[in-house]
Amino acid sequence: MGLVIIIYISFFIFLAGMFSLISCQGIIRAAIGLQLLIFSAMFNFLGFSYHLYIGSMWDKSFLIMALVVLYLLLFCIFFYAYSILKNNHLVLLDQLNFFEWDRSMWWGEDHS
Amino acid sequence: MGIIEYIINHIDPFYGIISIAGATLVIVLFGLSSTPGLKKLAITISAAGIGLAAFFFIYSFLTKGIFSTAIIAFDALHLTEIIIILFISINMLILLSMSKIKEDHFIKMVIVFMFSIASFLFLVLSRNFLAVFIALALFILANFQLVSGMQSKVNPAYTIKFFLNSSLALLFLFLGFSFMYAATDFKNLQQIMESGALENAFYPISLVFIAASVFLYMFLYPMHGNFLKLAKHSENPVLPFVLFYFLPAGLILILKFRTIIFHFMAQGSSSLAGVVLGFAGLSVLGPAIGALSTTSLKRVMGFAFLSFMGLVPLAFSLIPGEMLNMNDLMWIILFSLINLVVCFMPVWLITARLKDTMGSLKGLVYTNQYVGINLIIALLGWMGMLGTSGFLLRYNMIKPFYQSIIEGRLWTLNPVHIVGLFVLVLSFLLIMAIAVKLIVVVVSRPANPAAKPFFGLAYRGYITVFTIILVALGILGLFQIFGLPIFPGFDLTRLDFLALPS
Repeated sequence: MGLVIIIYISFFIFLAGMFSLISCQGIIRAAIGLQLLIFSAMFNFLGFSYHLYIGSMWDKSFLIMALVVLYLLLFCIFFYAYSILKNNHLVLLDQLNFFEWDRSMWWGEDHS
Repeated sequence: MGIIEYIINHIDPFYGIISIAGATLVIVLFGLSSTPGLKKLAITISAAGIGLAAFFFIYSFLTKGIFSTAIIAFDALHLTEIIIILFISINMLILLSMSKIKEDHFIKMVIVFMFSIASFLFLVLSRNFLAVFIALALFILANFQLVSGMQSKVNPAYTIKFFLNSSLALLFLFLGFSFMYAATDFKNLQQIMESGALENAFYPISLVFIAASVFLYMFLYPMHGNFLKLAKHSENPVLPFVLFYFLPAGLILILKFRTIIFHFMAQGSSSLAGVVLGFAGLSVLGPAIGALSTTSLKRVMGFAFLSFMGLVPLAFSLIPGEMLNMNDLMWIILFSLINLVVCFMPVWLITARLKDTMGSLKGLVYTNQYVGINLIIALLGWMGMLGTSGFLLRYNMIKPFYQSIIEGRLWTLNPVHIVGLFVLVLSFLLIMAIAVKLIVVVVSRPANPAAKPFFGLAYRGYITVFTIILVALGILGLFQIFGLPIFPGFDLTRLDFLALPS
C-alpha cells in the first residue's frame, strides 16, 4: 500500500470523524467521532513508520503510551457521563453538540 | 550531614516535581478524611510542597544553570513559566480552601490538584513529543477530576462538554504529532530545528493541526461555546481554575512550539498572515462584542478573557514581514499570562461575592468604598490605562507600528499589517468600552444604599495584593519606557534573557 493511499485513507477517516463530531446529537456519536480521529492518527503513525522509517520503534512506543493516557482520559469522561446520567437521559445522552449555533453562544444572555 | 550535602549538591529540576509528588503522597496518607484539622494540615502540606518546588527550581537554575536530558529541558524561560505557574497554583489553593473546605471530599480535591500541578510542571519542562503529550493528557485528566468534583450542584453536562472539547484538542495534537513524525522522525523540538528538516511537506500540515489543537484547547472564538456555558453555570471556584490555571496551559504549549511556529510564519507569505489575522481578528473582536451585550458578570469575564487571549494569535499574524521578532513574541505571550492573572483575579474575587448580574455592582464604590476602588483599578488595567500592566501590554504590541510611523514607513507596510493595526486598535477600544461600562455601573448611585456587600478584612487584603501587583508592574514598565529604570540591568519591557534556546 503506497504512502499516498495511506494518506488518502487517513484523511477519509479524519473527515468521517469530523463529520460525526460536527453533526453529533448524542454522546455515542461523539464517542464514534473521537474514535475515528484516533484511528486516523494511528493509521498515520503506522503507515509512515512502514514506508518512511522502517525499523523505527519510537513511533510504536509513542503510540502505546499516548493511547494509554488518551483512552484513560476518554474513559474517565464517558464513565462519569454514564454514571451521572444513566438514570436521567438528559441533554447529554440525546443532545450533545460540540459546536453550538445558538445565539447565546455569540452574544447576549444565556437563558439555559 | 553527608546525605544532606549530597542532596544539596545534586539538586536539579526533578526535585521540584518530586517535592510536589511527595506532598501529594503525604496527603494521600490522610485518606479521604473529613476532619477539619486534617483538611488544614493538607492545605499546609500542599502550600509547603509548592513553596519547596519553587525553591528547588530557583536554586537549581542559580547553581547549575541550564539543565537538559532526553525528556526535559530547563532554562530561564522555563524557570519564568514555572514561577508564574506556582504563583497561580498557590492562589488556586487559597481559592479552593476558601470555597470547598467544608466539603467531605475536600482532601481528594487537594490530592487531584497537586497531581495536576505536577503534570503542569512536567508539561513545562518536557522537550520530547511523548513527554509533552502525556503531560498534557494527564493535566486535562486531573483538571477534569477537579472540576467535576467542584461542580456538585450544577448540571454535569457543562463539565462533560467542556472536557470533551479539551479531549478533541488533545486528539488534534496527536494528529499533528503523527505528521511531525512523518516530516522529521525526531523526538524533540531542538533536534527538528537543528536538522533543517523543515522543508518537508508534512511539516506545515503538522503545524496546522498543532495550531488547531491550541485554538481548541484555549476555546478561542468561535470555539468558545462550551467554555462560556461552563463559565456561566459554574460554582466557586471553578471559573478562576479554568481561566487562570487550565486555559494558560495553551499559552505554555505555544511557548513550547514557538521556534518552529515562528520559523514557519517568518517564511510565510502575506496570504498566510492574512489567514492567521482573520482567525485572530475573530478571536479578539467577537468576544469583545459578546461582552458588551451581556449583563451576566460571569459571561462578561469569560468573553473579556477570551478577547485578551486572542491578542496572542494576533501577535503571530505580525511575524511575516519582521514586524515582531522572537523576543517580542515571547514577551507578549508571557506578559499576557501575567496581565490576565493580575487584571482578572481581583475582578473575579469581587464579583464572586455578588449576584451574577451587573446590577449587583451598582454603586459598589458607595456601599463598599475600598472594594469599589480596587475594582475600578482592576478595570483600568483592563482598559490599559497608564500606570497599569494593561498599558504595558498594549504599548509593546503597538510599539512596532509606532516605530514605523516615526520612521515614516507606515504606508509602505504590508497591507496585512495595516489591517492588523486596525484590528488591534479596535480590540483595545472595545475592551475599553467593556471596562468603562462596568466602571459606570460601579460609580452610579446604588439602588439600595443600605444593602452593603460584606468583604472580610483578609479578603480585602487578598484583593489588594493583585491590585498592587497590577499597578507596580505598570509603574515599573512606565519608568522603563521613559528611560528611568528602577532596577538597572532588568528591563521589564524586553526580557532578553528569554531568548536562550531550550
